[in-house]
Amino acid sequence: MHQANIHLNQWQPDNPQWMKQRTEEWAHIKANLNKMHPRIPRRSQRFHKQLFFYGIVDPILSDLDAMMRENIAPPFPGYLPFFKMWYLPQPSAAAFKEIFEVEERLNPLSLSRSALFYVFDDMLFSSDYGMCGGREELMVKTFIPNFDHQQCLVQGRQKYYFNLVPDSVLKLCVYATLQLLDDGNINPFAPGQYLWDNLNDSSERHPDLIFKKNRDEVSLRMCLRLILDWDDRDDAPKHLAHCAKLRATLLARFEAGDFSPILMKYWQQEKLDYQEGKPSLTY
Amino acid sequence: MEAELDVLCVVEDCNKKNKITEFLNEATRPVLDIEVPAPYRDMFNVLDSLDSVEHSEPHGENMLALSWFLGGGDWYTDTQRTVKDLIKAGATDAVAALWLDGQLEAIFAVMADGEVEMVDDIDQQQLTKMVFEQEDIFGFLNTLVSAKQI
Repeated sequence: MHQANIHLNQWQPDNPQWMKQRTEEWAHIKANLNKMHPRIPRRSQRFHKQLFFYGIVDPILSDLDAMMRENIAPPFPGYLPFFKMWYLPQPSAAAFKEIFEVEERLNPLSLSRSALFYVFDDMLFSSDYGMCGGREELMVKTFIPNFDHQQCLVQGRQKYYFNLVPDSVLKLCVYATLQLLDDGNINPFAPGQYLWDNLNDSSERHPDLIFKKNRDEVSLRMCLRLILDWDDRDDAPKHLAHCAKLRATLLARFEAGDFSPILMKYWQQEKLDYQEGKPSLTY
Repeated sequence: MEAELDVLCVVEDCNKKNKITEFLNEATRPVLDIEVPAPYRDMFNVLDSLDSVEHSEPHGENMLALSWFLGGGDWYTDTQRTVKDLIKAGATDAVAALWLDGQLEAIFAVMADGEVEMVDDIDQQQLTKMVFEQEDIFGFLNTLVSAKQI
């Protein structure tokens, strides 16, 4: 099996300075791959090195073939594009889109979202490097090219688990934001935090689908309270710049009315409760 | 459930023994084979498949005692592959003890045909008693290796 890497010009294995920088990043990657064990066998790491340092895809493909011969399930759907994006030396929306489009012809890439949202827990990657060194936002935007989940559905199998239906958008977005605003002890680039526009879109198009359970509404209200009482809380992670930035961005957007009527209704309710000194909702 | 693996391997060549130690320790192992002198590149590429050891030390004149924390996974297969890779890397013999949650689970040895098999002709109760009497798993593994070599 041979699959050419489409961005080979980005690799500079003959450049000692470039290799030094790659070696430094590899230490973070190796630590994260170890956290992904046993889903990603430790034996596979040497094949990952070939892609990361030299842009060579074949060893990972051979490794996947060997797993299939031994009746071992592939680590997760969309394994190859996930790592192609992670290891791309110069990540960009255009390059990720190109990887996406090449891979989409071979496999339904809606399944690849599982790696970002379902396979690995955000709590595992609370170091400054996060899971993919900050490439998470671009990966989210690449793997979810449209806000409307109905348009994303047709790009892959109609398998709900891996598709972002409105209530799962809410869960993923609110869970990541809650954690970042509460104590910040998760991946600083937790993919769910980049779903606010998707959540906004879902709340406008599919208001009947977004809150399937009372618990979902409570989660959203708890999240909104953490935006509101940020300055009051001694334990808010104000020392973490990415958490402070997320809070400031969300506060500005809600105060500017930059969200759908249904989300703004929850904001106004929570703001009123906060101003009246009512305690935050809990599960 | 957590697994640990102890391996005692025989490495007659002192340079090879040092290289195996270097290539398996996190602090000293190279990242890429281009950093490795040509005569040891094959050895490095074999050992690069293995996780870094938690502990390593010489045992007697020509042996290495190696310990890994295995975490989750298929521990039996991992053990067999680890021992096979040590043989490929230059060890002439090896015996392994697999522990699950602190309890001795199985002993593995290299068979005459080169395969790595679980040693099942040792009574488990007797084995456990012997290990505790030795108070040192590598001392016990040493008795197994020595018995094979006689």
